[in-house]
Amino acid sequence: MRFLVCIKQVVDTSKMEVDPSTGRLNRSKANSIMNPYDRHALEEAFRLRDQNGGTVTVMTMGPPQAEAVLLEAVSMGADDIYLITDRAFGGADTLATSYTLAQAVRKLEPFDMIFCGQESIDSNTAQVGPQLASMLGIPDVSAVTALALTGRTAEITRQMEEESEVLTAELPLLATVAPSLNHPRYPSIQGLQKKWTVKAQILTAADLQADPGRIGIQGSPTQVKRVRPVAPPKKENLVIQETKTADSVRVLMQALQKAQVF
Amino acid sequence: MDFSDYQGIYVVAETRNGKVCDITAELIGQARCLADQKKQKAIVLLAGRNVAGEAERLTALGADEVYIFESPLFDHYDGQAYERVLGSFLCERKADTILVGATAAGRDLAPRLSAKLVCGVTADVTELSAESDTGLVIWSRPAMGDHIMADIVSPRFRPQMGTVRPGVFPMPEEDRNRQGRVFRMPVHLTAADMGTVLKRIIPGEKESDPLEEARIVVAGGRGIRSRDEWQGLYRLAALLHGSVGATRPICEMGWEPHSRQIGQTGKLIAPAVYFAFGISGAMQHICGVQADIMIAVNQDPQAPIFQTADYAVVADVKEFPPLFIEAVESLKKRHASQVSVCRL
Ligand SMILES: Cc1cc2nc3c(=O)[nH]c(=O)nc-3n(C[C@H](O)[C@H](O)[C@H](O)COP(=O)(O)OP(=O)(O)OC[C@H]3O[C@@H](n4cnc5c(N)ncnc54)[C@H](O)[C@@H]3O)c2cc1C
Ligand SMILES: Nc1ncnc2c1ncn2[C@@H]1O[C@H](COP(=O)(O)O)[C@@H](O)[C@H]1O
Repeated sequence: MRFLVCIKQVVDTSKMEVDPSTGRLNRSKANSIMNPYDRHALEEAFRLRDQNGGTVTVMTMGPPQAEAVLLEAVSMGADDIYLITDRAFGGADTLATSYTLAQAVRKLEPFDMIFCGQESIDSNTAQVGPQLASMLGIPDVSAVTALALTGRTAEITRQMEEESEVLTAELPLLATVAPSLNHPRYPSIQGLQKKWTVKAQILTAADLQADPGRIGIQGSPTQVKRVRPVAPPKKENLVIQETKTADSVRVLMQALQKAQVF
Repeated sequence: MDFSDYQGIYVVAETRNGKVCDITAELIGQARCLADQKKQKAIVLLAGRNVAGEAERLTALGADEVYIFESPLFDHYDGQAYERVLGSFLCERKADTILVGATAAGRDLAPRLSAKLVCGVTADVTELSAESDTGLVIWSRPAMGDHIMADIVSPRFRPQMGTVRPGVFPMPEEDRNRQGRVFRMPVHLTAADMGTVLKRIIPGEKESDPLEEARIVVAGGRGIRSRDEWQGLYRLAALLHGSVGATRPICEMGWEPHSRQIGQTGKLIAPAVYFAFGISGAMQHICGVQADIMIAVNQDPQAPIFQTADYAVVADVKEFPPLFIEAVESLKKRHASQVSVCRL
């Protein structure tokens, strides 16, 4: 079977800091990493390959330095890696990204299963998976928490608002992977060695015969009009700092009664 | 670009066991505002197995038109089938704006629809408005690990679409006298059109008092050092008819389940009153709280939580809560009845 995993290089948003006085985002401590959700997507593809035989192809769309996450995927066990890169892809939103990935899939077809992460930590949209499936005309299941493959039938569990649903679907199928599905493996020694000997195969806009109106900024419907600090404005500015805690309690009670909380 | 033939504010309704979900009512409220501002109609698409009975409620909530898509195959959400039925309809109709709930199903459906309609979609919107001159919808959402808010627009493409987080916008009042038109649409679906087949449902454990519904939240962080002190939060919450919430480290220690965690990787809450006891106020926590009034108790006058708190109490969380509980109890006694929480 041929498995495909889409992975993304992201800035580590958990290492970002916001200056509370200016609301400015400080990214200096935030390195580029593989989107953590995508490790779970990779793991699932490796697990199914190890069980059923076949290959795991991994691709990413990004700038040249995004090759780093592909090489990391090799160290974990990826068979083939593709870097989809071109200046013309720059500024893509999820729709343009999905279109570009769909063109790459068409070039590298056929695949039995495609995996994406549930979402990316830098944009958190969870859109690329379902969009890609739609463009390829295949079913998808989002945020999969359990998966078993018997022949060409997948049994899948997904978490809805209150309950979980167990579904079956025939391949080909796209699944976006929730972190609870599995525990991603660590790089192997062979993988780490292989990582130094391979290079990603490059796919450009011309290679993909991409419609210029559907890629990059041109093909991106959404635009960021402005960004602003998330911290809500301070509504009241009462600091209560009595020497005796009992006095602080009294002052707060009075303030809350005045504010009609009580 | 002339988009004047793109008309109508559409809401994709969601139902559970044949009943319309709260998020759908919240979306209709927003659609009504946008429709009035842009002088367009608010239109609801109601797809499901046995849902026609809910159409009247949707008009009472503010819909001008309701389109019903019933099929026995809609016993569960199926991205491929929903895209086929609703996507084709929306393509034909040239929708101006489409609102979808940021639920498990909505977060899958909206991107599938956007791929079919070749339009943009903004995820997890928490603020919504329209430019007064152009009518362009401004979708605002937390971004970059919730560190910032981004205002997103789609000036060059139609429809404009977004998924909206549940529980953020108010539910509109139902007005049974409102008139709306209801249309039953034919659904041409066969089993072969379905991407998935529902085998069984594993019921979730329903939470007894879900945090996101509480009007008063009493939350604690690592400043609280013992489980005895932690019980104090429950006493205060009981007194105020509120719920207990926690920061991530507290949940990681196992003092509270993950369903009690507030913040980026926990729940987004918008209570009337938020108490923070021994919480430092990390951005990943505070981004989950949109309270009308925030009261923070922390012994460190420099704690970041004080930047957002309305009442910053510099005190020890060992001493403060018991005395505060006592004060609330005595207030309650003085009023001889319950403390009426005006914010409720
Ligand atoms: C990717 C990512 C996602 C995250 N998601 C979340 C999330 O969803 N929710 C969340 O909460 N966190 C989240 N975090 C963690 C977050 O960054 C903080 O580490 C966490 O919120 C801190 O919790 P705390 O305030 O309980 O603990 P601390 O930061 O340790 O703060 C304890 C506070 O208690 C005060 N204190 C100590 N003793 C006393 C006393 N006796 N009396 C009064 N005050 C006292 C201290 O002054 C201090 O301010 C996330 C982190 C990352 C990296
Ligand atoms: N540029 C990209 N290249 C490859 N895969 C991507 C890219 N962007 C997003 N994805 C995939 O789509 C998933 C969801 O991302 P997002 O829609 O950005 O939240 C990610 O976990 C990846 O699997």
